[in-house]
Amino acid sequence: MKRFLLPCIAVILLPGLIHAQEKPKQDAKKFVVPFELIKTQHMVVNVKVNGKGPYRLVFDTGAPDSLISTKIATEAEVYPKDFKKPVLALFGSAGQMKVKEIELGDLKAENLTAMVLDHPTVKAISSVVGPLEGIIGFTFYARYKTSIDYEKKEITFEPNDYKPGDVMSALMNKMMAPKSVRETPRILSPVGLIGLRVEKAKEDEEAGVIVKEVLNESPAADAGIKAGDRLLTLDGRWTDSVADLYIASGLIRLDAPITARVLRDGKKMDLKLTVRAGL
Amino acid sequence: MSRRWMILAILALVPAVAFAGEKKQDEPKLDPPTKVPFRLSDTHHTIVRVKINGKGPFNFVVDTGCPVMLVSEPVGKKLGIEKGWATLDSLEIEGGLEMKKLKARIETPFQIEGMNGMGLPGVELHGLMGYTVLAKYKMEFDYTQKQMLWTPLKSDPLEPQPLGAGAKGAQGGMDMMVALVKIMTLFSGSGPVPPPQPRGFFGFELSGKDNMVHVTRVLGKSPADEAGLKKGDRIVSVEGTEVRSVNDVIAQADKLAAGKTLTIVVQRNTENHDIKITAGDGL
Repeated sequence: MKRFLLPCIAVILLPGLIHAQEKPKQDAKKFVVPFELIKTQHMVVNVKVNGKGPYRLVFDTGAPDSLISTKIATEAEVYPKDFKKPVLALFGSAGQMKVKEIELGDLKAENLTAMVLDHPTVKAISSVVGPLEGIIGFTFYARYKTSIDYEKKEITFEPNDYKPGDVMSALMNKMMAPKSVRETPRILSPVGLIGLRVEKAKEDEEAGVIVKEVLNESPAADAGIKAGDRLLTLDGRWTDSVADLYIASGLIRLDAPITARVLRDGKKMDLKLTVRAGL
Repeated sequence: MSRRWMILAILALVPAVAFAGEKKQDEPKLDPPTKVPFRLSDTHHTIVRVKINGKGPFNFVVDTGCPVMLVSEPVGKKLGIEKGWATLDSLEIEGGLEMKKLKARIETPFQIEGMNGMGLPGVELHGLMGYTVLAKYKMEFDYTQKQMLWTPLKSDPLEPQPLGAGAKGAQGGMDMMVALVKIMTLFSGSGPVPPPQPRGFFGFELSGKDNMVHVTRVLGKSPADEAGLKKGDRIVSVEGTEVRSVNDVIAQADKLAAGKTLTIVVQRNTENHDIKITAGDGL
């Protein structure tokens, strides 16, 4: 318990990046790594951990962290020198560990985290398709522009300087935040000024929100949006509720034209909208 | 024993789906490549939104660790589809992709139940989008961008295979952990968070240069106009904090929902003026 409580004193409610990790030291080039599609339709890649292996790991975009078996952890000397296994180690779990190096083909990533865990589902799958020793997840692949091609059975990695951050610390901080902080609603902020007022009645189940007002000289007015229009999408995102519209408007770029799709007199129209810095 | 790994272990979305073999479905030809908007949840899952049979939007995790399209039971209920295998008449993916007659499994994976119960992802999750959908596309993930790129492939995804009798206890007690983590959640007092609120509307444009921020436009009949803000005003401070960039202003205003007041000091013709703008409704 103590080990977990310690890092949870700080109060952080911002989603996303909390801890920067070292970025990979590769040039901006592409690495093509083949994968095997096993009977259960999971992608399996050959992975070296701290130079040991190769081991077969599942490539899983649904896993926020990578996972290695106790076998890898032992062989690749992932456990710290003074490490004592916890008394109650369900599935051999030793918690989150630092891994010096993970290699997929020619691609080397340094200083990552991985959970040491004999995942029961991975074990169940390996009882059918041969040994699998863990999962390659977000902390690895998010460092790259990652392209998955099921036809060629290839994953292409291109370093993009993105820092995946430590999801566990962020979540723990979120869970341990004081009640007052947790119960303060998050504010959804548009990136800039659009110049619209919209509405959506509770019983209205049609797509889009209704534009109630467009302010003169605003970006919305310049785009040709009119009161009475139904705003269907903003920059490709559905705007089926007022909250949706605010989320979409928080994810656009300023000073660059984006598409606002409206429904007017039964016709869909794509309007070019350029949002400007403002409030 | 640490809670950290438990939570992380249930976050890893490798659902053990036991199912019987099903017939493959036809797919319509699609135009290449489509920008699919995504969000990264607080749990670092890649979320895309879908509409199923015209209903939604629902939040799905892009999960190569899941062999099928897994739709949670509450969503199934909304669609009037019972637990088990089902054929979805249409699946629209935000950004403009659409599939017809897609085989899916209606079942709530314990990971989704656990995460939603704790309010961890920061957004309600409605299911896992797995191989039978994903393998129709070449997918590009880039977390420096706001959209993924999905290019339709020519070949159909293969039929997912059941694990068979050789695999014992695929869940292996992982589902028990959800119960454990839920109990721990009670003690930590964590849980679902209140719905977010839209930021208030002020109605002026800004530009910054040489550590100074100026008002470049005030929209007529906007809250800023009514409060007396003028084009050309230099914003000296916001909420008592000195302002050197547009972001300094936005950072203060971004905390304010409609009805709240933004207090700013502007310099106009060498004189300072206090201006209080009460945020209205809009964006």
